[in-house]
Amino acid sequence: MIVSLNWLNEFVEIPCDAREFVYRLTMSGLEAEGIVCLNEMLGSARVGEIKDIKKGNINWVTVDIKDKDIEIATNLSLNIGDKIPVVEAGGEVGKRKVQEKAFGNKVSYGVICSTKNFGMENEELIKLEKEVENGTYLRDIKEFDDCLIDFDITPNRGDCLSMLGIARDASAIFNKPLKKLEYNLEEERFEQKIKVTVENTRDCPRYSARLIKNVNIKESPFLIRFRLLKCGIRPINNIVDITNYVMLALGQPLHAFDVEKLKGSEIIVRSARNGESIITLDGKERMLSEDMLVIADRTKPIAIAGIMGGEETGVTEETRDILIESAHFNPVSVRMTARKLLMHTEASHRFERGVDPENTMEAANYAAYLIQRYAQGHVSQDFVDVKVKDFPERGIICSYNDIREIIGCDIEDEKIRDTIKSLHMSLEDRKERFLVRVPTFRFDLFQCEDIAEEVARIYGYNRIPSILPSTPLLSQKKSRLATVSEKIKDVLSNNGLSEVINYSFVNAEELKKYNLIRDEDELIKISNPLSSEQNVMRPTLLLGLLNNVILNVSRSVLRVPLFEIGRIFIKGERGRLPYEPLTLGIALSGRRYEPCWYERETDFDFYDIKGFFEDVFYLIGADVEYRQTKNPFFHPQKATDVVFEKKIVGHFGEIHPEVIHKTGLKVKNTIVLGEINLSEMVEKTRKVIFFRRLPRYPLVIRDISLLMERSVQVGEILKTIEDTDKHIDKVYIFDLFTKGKEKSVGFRIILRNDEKTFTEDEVQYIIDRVVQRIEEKFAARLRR
Amino acid sequence: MEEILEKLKQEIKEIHNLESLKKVKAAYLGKKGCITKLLKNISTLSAEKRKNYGEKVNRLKREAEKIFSQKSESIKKEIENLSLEREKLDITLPGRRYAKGSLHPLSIVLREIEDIFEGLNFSIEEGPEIEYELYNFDMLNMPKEHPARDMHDTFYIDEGMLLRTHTSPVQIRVLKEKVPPLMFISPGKVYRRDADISHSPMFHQVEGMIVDKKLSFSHLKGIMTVFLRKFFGEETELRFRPSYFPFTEPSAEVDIQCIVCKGNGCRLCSYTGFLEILGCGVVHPNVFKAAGYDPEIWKGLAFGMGVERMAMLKYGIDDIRLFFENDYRFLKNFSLTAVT
Ligand SMILES: [Zn+2]
Repeated sequence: MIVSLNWLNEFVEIPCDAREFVYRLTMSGLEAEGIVCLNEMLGSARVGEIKDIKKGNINWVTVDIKDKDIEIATNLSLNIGDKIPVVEAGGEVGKRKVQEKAFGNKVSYGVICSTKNFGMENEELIKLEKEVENGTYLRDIKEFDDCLIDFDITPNRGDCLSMLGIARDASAIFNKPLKKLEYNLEEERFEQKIKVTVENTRDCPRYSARLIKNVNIKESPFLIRFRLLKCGIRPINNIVDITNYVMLALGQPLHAFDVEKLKGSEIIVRSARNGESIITLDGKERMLSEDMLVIADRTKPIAIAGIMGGEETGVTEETRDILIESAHFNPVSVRMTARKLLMHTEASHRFERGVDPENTMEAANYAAYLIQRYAQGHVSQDFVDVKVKDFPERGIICSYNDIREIIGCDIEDEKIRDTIKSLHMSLEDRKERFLVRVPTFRFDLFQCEDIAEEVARIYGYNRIPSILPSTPLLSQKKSRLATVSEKIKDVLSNNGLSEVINYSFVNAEELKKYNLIRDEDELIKISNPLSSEQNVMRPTLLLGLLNNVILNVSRSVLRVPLFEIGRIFIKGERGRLPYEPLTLGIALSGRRYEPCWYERETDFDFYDIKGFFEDVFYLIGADVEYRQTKNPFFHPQKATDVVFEKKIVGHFGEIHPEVIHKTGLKVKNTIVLGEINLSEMVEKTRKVIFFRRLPRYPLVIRDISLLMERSVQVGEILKTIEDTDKHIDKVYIFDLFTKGKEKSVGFRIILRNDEKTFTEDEVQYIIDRVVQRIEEKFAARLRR
Repeated sequence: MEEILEKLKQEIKEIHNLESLKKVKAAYLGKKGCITKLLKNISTLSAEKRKNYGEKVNRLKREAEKIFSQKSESIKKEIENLSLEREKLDITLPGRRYAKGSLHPLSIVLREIEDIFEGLNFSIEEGPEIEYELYNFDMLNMPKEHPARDMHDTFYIDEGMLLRTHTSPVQIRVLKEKVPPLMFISPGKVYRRDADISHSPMFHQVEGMIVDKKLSFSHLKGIMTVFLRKFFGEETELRFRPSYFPFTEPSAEVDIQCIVCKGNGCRLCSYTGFLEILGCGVVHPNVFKAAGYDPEIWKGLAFGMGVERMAMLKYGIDDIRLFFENDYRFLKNFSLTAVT
């Protein structure tokens, strides 16, 4: 909502400059998003008259600025005789210098200014009155000495979508009375009458209208056109402009019908019938349904109530008689219809937020007066005002103490009373309490809390004290899941991985392309995605991480160690919320180390990601098993499923070369990826850290090296060794190399005895049994 | 005799190894050494001369021995130094540093916010990211027919479900499940249908709530002031101005003095000198009613802030999309950020 301070001054006196005004209003709840002070942007702009136009690729116009004629190149469409703002070369406009500019062999000696030159948003030509003298500086014309303020009006304050509305708040803030609009409407008597029938009184509780005959359709006067431009509305003709002008002034949307095009001099406000349609003023056909309110003549809808009029009955150059509609429509009905038709207009915006039902006649009269004055219309003395019900002022009972308690500030009774009254509400004292009557233009005040806010915002939030509450609570411990996930972030980031955060939505096609899903029906779809790139909720972190690797590799990052902790989304039962397990994903690609002098350059592989995950399992306290994966995203021989409590809770390993091929990356880029379901594991584990006594007798260390087939699983041997004797405390693999079809593995076995010192025989006995068991079970043999 | 000593000193001056020193020592103090000879001469002297001579020669001998032992020590030290010198390292070569990763800047800022509120005795609560429309809107005093819904561009999943547009539905869940008094924050991802340099369709919020019997707007000012000063610095200037949220009444927007221009006006703050940082208010009675609380008894305060905005201000990041692009070089900026 853009407000012109000049215009506003017709409703209330503004006792300060524009910036102070903006500050005061912002601090009392009407937030200004921008301010354009026209008077600071005018520079040396003055009035010029178009004397001659030479059309071509560039139009050349001769402009009379009183003391001389100047030639200017322009792409604006102008007519001879137009008076427009112009700046001569060497001058300044919009805080910018204007210079001579050559086009071909001709020089342009200035610029013709549009609204944009003065800092306004839309680019429109400003045509001045014919009467104004050529050469007059714009700074000497009253309507240019103005500031435009763009207020961001919150949805509860529909009453502020007009000059009058803003003026009401300003009058409370600056303690200045509202000025009354002064005008004198002359009425005439005509035979012709328009009958109005309201069938749907729920959605149209009031319908006012005025008949005006013999209007002279033409351009509006400069004042009206320029004020509309300032507020971002393009002028059309005097009738349309006046309906818009009154809407901006008073907040009441109006519509003008061409009476001669109505069938049967009758207006019916009714619900649309299924199958009906209307071509609206914007030339589009709209399909209507019976939950929509329309204005109709005898035969068909002529407007969608509160949203937009029909093309057929709209005002044209030929229009003579018009009916000005000024109605009150049900906000919910307008909102639902506008949403269904995907329409949003100045009118619907206001009706949805609430328009004062007691102001319809005033708006109709003011419009009639302006039409009388600027379109030479003759106003019929018979007016229409169908009022289905009264609109009583809502009463709210409050106490001064309630108000003080909600705000937490000792504001005196009198101050509270004055503030409420200053906001145009009446107040009756009733012992300790009082009754506030809410005026019909406020749609946001229902209870004491609302009144408290009104008092607080005028009093000033910054005058309210800051106090810490004394709620005697100890915070509860974070959930184990939250604690574990933070700990994992620390461990992984301290060990070289960088955390990423990816969007929760992904592309369904991409999931399919990389074999990450079997069936699209498993996916949770977004009904209205921003793009097909983000049309389903992610069922896995792997796609996001893979794309992170692709992006970084494509930007020549040679080392990409990443992890993410976030939720994935698994479809639940019909109508129930999905399962959102917290999931940990890791992606490694490229070089294992940053370039350095102490490590050979090698690439990440399966055992790097396994190490990270092993740290995580240890941190959680989870015992897991590894099983070759059947997941088609992964390399069949270089990846594993993670099995926990007999369930697959994750998988990791190298991705399938076929998948790498599809990414467009070179196959030599090994990418190691994986994810595990943290929610599942954390829920079922508990970690007890218990002090273990230091060994009382010396530990014994023995190394054995074994030769075996390459296919033997070393993990199995480890388990076998550990199971052999209760004195085996720990087994390390300290050496591993392959030789032909065989491999040699070196085990370091740590023996611990808490009762006594081992004898050599005892040690040898245990080691012999270890060797013997491995030899039997794995067809391995001891290397000598 | 003095001459002998002088000669000796001269002779060992240039000696740098123990072998040569041994030879010289033998020449003076060995069986046939010159000082040994002088000692042997004693027998040829008379008794009265003998005493005097003996003393002199013995002193000479002690003196010479001392010189030799000192020299021997110094040669040993010299040799040792020489051998250490051969082990000399290039101390300018970079050290072995174990690879460091990094936390995401949003994680860092989220932790900081959580830590401050935990310090103020708030608990941390979480809820689902896909929510019932009922919890996200209706129970928060935002019925379908209300234009306040336009404030949230929403992603819908079918059947009355949507991607939560704020973490406020967590408040409804906590109100329904727990017993007041309550004091908690609800951090997490939220979604709105909007994408440009300062809006992301997914972003992070921290919302908070206090429910107790005696609470007023001034307490909200207290909590917000403490939080914002801890986060942005004790000197931070704040201002509270009226605003509108359907679920609070009175409602406020809190601005901090622009961290770039310190209030003088710059591009970041659109020349207002202030930056909008969070929204808050006194819980609307309708929210309490929807959750089954008597608004005559229970009062509540609520607030919410966008984590991306806080992080952008803190680190001077000018494009919100950088957070989710995950360029490794961007992420590495935030390595070892425990202390700032
Ligand atoms: Zn600034």
